[in-house]
Amino acid sequence: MNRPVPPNLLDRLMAEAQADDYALAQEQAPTTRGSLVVAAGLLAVIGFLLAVAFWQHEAVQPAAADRRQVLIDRVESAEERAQESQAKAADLRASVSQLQKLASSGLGEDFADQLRAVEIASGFVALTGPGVILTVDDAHPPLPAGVEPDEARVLDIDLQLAVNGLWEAGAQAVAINDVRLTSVTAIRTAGEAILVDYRPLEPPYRISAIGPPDLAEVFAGTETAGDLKQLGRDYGIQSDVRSVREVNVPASTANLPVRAEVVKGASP
Amino acid sequence: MIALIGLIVGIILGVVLSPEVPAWLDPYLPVAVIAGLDVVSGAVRSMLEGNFSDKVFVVSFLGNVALASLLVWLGDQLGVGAQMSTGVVVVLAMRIFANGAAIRRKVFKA
Repeated sequence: MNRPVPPNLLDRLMAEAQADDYALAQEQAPTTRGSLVVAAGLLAVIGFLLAVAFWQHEAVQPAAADRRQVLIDRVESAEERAQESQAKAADLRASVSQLQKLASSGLGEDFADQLRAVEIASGFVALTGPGVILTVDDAHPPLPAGVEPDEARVLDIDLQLAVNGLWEAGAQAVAINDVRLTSVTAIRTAGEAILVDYRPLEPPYRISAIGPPDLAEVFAGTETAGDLKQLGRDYGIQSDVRSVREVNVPASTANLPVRAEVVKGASP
Repeated sequence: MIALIGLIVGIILGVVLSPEVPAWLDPYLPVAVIAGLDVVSGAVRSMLEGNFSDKVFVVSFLGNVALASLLVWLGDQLGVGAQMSTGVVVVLAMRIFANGAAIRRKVFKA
């Protein structure tokens, strides 16, 4: 069986790779038909290999995919953590530079006291001290004659009134249901709920205020106290002022404007 | 007929036993399987052409599997294992195609 050998290397490779072993063997030593039993035995071996390879591939694939998913999850969570850390680092850097600026602005020895005062006024720190707890609640049945149930509820303006009265009476720090009020905290209605610092609150509203020891008496003398009493008579809104020896007011979680700059040479 | 039964018995044995393949055999098993398919296609062709020989069948299988595995192993040692596997599989697939074409010509006369 003589085939012409193609001159091209690639074609020759193809031709030789496809050489017919049986025909070549026949040429060298003509034999009769081989034993089929031997062939069957070898075929069994080949079939066995085929099945094992197939099964192995099937078994290995999902395991590899699982491992990959685990690794992907790990990478993603690590990236998240890194991002959080970077954001934190940026925050800290910003506050450090701000503090350095403050420290080098020549405010003098009473800088710490001033900082403390700013922190208290801005709601930056939690406070504990003497003060009052003013509780305001929706009217309980029976309602006063001619009052609809909708009218017998505490409104955002009622809370604003009460809080402003407390500020007026000399309160230093105020919180409603443990949400600290700052100079940028809004009290407003959204649907049925009253939002303070964008968080919905439930009645009864417990307004904690820290201030001078006579805060309760001063507050009782303000116009606001009279207005609250009037609300009670007209709509059944309940309010109650108690002087307390120790009131806890948490720090604000609001995003305070941090661009404030101390003017050099300004008198505090 | 008896050959076909042998193949089926082998496949069933492989599926039923499904033995754990040692990790170091992983790269050689697929190559061995492709070599086996090549030899089977050659055997079918030789049967149709009437010059089948069990000796050639067994020797070519063992020889091809050994050579293919050796090449892949050598490739692994030289850092071109994946490429060597590809090359071996390409050559074997080429042979399978040639045998398949010959079988097709015999069976369908086309």
